Amino acid sequence: MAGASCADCDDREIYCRILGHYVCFSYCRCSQEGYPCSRVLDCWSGSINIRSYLEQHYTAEEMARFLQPPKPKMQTLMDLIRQAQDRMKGT
Amino acid sequence: MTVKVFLNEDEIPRQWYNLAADLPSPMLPPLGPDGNPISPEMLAPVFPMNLIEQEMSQKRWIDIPEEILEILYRWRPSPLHRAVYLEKALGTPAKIYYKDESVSPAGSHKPNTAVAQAWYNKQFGIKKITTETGAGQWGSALSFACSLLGLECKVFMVRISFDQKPFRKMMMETWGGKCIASPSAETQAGRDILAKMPDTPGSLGIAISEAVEAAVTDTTGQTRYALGSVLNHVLLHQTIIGQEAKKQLAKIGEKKVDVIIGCAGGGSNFAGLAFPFIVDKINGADIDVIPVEPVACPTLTRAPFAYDHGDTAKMTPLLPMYTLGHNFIPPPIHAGGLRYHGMAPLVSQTVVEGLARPMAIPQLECYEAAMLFARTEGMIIAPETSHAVACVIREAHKAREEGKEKTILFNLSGHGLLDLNGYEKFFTGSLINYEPPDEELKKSLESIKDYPEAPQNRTGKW
Repeated sequence: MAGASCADCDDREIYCRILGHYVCFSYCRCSQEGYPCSRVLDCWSGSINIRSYLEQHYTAEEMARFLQPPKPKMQTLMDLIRQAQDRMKGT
Repeated sequence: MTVKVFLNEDEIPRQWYNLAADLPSPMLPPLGPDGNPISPEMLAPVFPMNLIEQEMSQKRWIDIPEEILEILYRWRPSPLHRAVYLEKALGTPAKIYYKDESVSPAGSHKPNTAVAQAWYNKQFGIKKITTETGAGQWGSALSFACSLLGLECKVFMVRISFDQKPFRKMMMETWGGKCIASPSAETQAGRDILAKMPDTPGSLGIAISEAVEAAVTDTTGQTRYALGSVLNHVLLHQTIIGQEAKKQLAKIGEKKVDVIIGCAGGGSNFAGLAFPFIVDKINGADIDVIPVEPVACPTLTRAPFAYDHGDTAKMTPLLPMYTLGHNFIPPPIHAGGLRYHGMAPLVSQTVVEGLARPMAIPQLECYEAAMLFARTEGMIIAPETSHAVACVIREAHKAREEGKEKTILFNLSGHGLLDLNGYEKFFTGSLINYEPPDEELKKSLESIKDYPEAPQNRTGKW
């Protein structure tokens, strides 16, 4: 419900389009290496006061960082290939 | 009364159809860090060259190897159903048909590409394939395919999904796949995450990192990576769906389809059904093609189309996509920086061109549609598929109001027998409709209004 306190939200569930099953808000708010998923506003706006929650718990810089759009698939693959190759070289 | 239409094995389509060859305006290509189009060599660490060739191909028809068809015969050609029971319940003059992709061993359309990818990898000398999965539909499909071809399959399953979806994990293992909870100690990417957050539930991003690393760092060179949607070669393999549908409709004398509908996540099941019909539309046919997405995350229906660069060092390829901008602080000024929600570039281009008309439908309406479908046609469908059925019902109502005998075709992309907890939530009333309010989107889009947008290559014909 819009306006509900997020302190009560951890057990609320939503269908995660990325994973393909229901997850709790407690997952959505930490799935990005401890930060919220980049889609947290998309998915939770209208259900809970997600903007207020984010502004209470994160700085503007942090929000800008974790709300950055996920990269396109091809771009992600290129990044990961490079990272893996660097690991092999020990760099 | 015709309820099902079958094709014999010798009637199965023997070529995949590549829409890239027929798009009226060329697709904007993905660019590498130097600003030039990505070269095949850049993808070679993760894909075999035969699949890279398909990814970049402009050939209209690509032969399906006989050995792949022989594997597909286990469930293909899939039946075409006439939804006579649903039609009656709706009181519609529309004729509703659907391709039933739930009949595959994994329960969805995913094996159509899993089998193809596994086969091409084997031809290239690959012995092991890695991938990531969330709920497990893709991991199951790839495990199944690899088991038939004698390949090892290692699936990095997001930890939270690994814990919540034991049956999909069991399916993978039944087919010989090795399912590993991600993040894991098997990769440096996984170890790094676990060192910082030992109790993390994981994410698909981490799982992809592990799967790619496992492929790239295999010093034998005999491991590659596979994925279940988005990329061109994956959509290509799915076009067997739409081509079968064309043959089946012709068999019963249906001369024209008026509406094509498919749910759109990554885009592969929608593309599989729709692309063989979109080429008819390009050549003058009057067909309404509708990709359907959930309202909560509207990629196609509300997002501007732009390049997404995302990397401040400009070291990664640009890719033109429908994106949503949700930034409180504008990211560093460079091309793109907009959100990308996973829609296949080819599907995005059909929308840009006006060949596809996307629609977003709220989740409650989707579950209501799924319930009606279960109580008329009998099948319990996957949550994603319910979006397509909801759209079909809307179109059927429209046909009734207009008094038109439209022919509607949709893709029943998967069954929901392992997703019944969603139905339970519907029964208990715990599902609500949600939609990002316009004010949210406007605020975010204002932050990126000065960013250069990708040129929308379109003819303006549709």
